[in-house]
Amino acid sequence: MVSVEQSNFESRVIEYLGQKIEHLESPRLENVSRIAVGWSHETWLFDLVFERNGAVEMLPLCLRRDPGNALLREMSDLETQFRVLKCLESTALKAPKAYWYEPEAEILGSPFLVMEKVAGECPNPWGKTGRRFYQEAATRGTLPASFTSELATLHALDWRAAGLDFLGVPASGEDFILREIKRWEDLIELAQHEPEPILIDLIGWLKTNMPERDQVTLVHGAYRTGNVLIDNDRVSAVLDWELQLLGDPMYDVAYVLSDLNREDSELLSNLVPRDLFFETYERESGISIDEAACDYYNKLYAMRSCAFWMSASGLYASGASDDLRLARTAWSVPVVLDRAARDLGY
Amino acid sequence: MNEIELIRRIAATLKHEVGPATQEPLAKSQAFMASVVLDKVARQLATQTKDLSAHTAELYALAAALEQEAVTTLPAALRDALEAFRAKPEKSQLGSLVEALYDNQSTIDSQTFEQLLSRIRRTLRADIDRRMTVAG
Repeated sequence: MVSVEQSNFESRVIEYLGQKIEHLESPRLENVSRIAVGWSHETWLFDLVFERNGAVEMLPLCLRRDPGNALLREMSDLETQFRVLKCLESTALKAPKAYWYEPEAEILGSPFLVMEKVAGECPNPWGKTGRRFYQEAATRGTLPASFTSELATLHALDWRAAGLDFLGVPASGEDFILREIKRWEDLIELAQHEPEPILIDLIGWLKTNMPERDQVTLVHGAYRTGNVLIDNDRVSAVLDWELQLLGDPMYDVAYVLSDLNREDSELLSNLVPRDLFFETYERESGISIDEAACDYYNKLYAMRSCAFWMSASGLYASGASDDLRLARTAWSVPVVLDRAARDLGY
Repeated sequence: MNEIELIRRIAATLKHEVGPATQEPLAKSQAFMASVVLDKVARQLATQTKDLSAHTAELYALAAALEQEAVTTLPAALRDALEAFRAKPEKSQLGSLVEALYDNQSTIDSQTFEQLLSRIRRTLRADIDRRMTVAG
């Protein structure tokens, strides 16, 4: 793990930005905060205040840094995130502008990217306050429609024209699913968790029951409340570009439909009435929702959750992280295995 | 005071005294999380011996039940996995058996596949039910 103190952070970032922005006079950082939530890359928010031609200007920025022990770091590096955000700038999707990617470790001890700090808030859907926020937004109706529309926009965008084919274009048929299973199998192997027969059963089932899927769109990979920024009751930016890939849009739709992301709520992702989601998504994306494919992907998400918790608890067990939230996830593994067994009918 | 009670006491102290008195947000959340983890550890320790012996007994019962299956008709790779599990009825061998079952699914009749898998799943369900009493 590579840590960085706030005072060092500020002076080094100012020096770095001085090299990137021309005629930067009297620069300083204001409202510096490190986001405490999230388990992957370290995220810092701040405003760069400087003078240019006698006038004071302000640039709101967000910096994501690889601390060296982030969850899912094997699956998503900051350079890929930077490239994806750059590609998205030419599309209608709401996403932060990407400014700079720094691959060298000299400045902050590890690679980082700097992007726009978009206005808005991102309430945690697992907390009491967040759940209340989304329930109240659901009754107003604007945010559920905006959340659904943004997913439709994501799936309808021309990923080839945007240059996103560097993510890897799956062949038609089962290729997308095979790739996705492989990706999570690799993470399970890295976690070095003891073999779990229920998980082996689930993976066996997934490999022998793959639906044929041909449609290819950009897929976010974790589209839910908590991964979108909200401003003025609408989505102001889609965040967390860590698991994106090209493939079946039903993979994202299944994630929205999944009870993984809504606890006891009837509302999808704690926010959207099911009928509204179906009607709005199909109308705006031009894509019909295939519920059988979504059921299949729901099981794939059970595998993904197992892999995620195994990886998380493994980070603590191996000494790579001291974060006790990760230690607790050792008991999340049986929870998702129980769910997986139920999904398989036992 | 036994070790389980000691861990529970420490968990309670972290939750009711250390956590509330800690100002720095990250340290505060870690104190509360330490309490949650220790509580889980205490619960696991309390049932560990009983759970382990129940699970071992079920694995042996499964091995005995699978002996009744008509193994001579199974493909060699699956037969080997079955034999390995019967010789050493442990979780890791059971995982290998499940994997071999799926790997050979296309070469055995569906009834045999379902029969073997459903018997294995009974054992897996019993195990996960026990684990869920601590994890859930």
